[in-house]
Amino acid sequence: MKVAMINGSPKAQNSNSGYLLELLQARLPKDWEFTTYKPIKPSEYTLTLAEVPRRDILVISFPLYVDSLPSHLLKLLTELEAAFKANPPQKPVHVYVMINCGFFEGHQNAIAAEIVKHWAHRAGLVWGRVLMTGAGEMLGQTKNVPMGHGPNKNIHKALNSLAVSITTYESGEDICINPNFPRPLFIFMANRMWGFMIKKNGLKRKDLYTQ
Amino acid sequence: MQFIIHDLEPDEFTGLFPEVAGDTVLLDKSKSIHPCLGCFGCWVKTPAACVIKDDFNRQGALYNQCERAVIISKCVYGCYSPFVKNVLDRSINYILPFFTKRNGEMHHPCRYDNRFSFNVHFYGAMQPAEQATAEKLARANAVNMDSSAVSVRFYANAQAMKGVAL
Repeated sequence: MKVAMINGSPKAQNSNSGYLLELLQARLPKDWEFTTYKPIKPSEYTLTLAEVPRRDILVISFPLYVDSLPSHLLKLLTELEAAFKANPPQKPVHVYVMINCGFFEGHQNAIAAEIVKHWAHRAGLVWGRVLMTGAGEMLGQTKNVPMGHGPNKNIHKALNSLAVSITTYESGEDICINPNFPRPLFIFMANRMWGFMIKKNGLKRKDLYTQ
Repeated sequence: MQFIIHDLEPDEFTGLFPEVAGDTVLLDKSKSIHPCLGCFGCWVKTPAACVIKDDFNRQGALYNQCERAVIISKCVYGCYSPFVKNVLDRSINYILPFFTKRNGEMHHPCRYDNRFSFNVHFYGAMQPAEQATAEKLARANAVNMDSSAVSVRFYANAQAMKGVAL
């Protein structure tokens, strides 16, 4: 089975979307062939547009941007739709999606999931399943917490469920999770984190409010 | 004052909307724009300004001067077109990085006191489900920007917008 792992994060490296792809790949059959694509500018699309339509399974992972997809990923999808229509695959291609947002609630990714579903339909692909998770930034900051424990309890179960759907080539209901973490504590820690980050850049916490 | 984000060619826009208020700021493809880098620089490195030095560097400051926002976009899978989406992606310096509760869920508070109405016009051939998604998207965006009001309208094609009051 040939799998295209499309990282839709605009970050050059160390993205939570990329981390989710790694976690998912670790749960999929080792004898499958995985290729990661991360084109950001249109000038980088060539290889993606040539190879992705020849894959059996597409996994698209991206961060929520303004309640939807990052614009560069949206642009890529329009070009992929044209590529699929120009050279229709010989057998059905299944699409699986992972969306992470900075908000606590995974359901805030639901509109973005609908958008990708509509794309899959227009491109003639088979919709598989979507995993929507909140608190994407916390995922990247709890890599030292074993999967299945503490804040990583829910994402562990969700990834396992998605992996089963992919392995069996099946469609399934949306997976929507929040982290296994108290929401008020998440808000407190997240709001404090920005103060730490701005100080690392030589500024003061009050500068966060600059107009 | 109002700003209009649109994805039409400039002469097509002028043909459809020959009379636009004098204090309108047009944000269109004639300007230089790069995609968001996802670096959070507009929050923690150069607050209120994007680290990318192009024509969309200080969207928040512009929005702070406006009573109305108008979006004119082709409906793409129930989303804005890539150009319009790019402009919106570069607008997060309008909000603060902190979290607050709005309608029982988490959102970001606004950096500024000014609030604008959010008026979206989607055009193009769209399935009913795509139209439903687009309506949800525009309304969700209005909530995230704590807009004073929101309106969403749909047209079969760009020409059908001729004469519409923006």
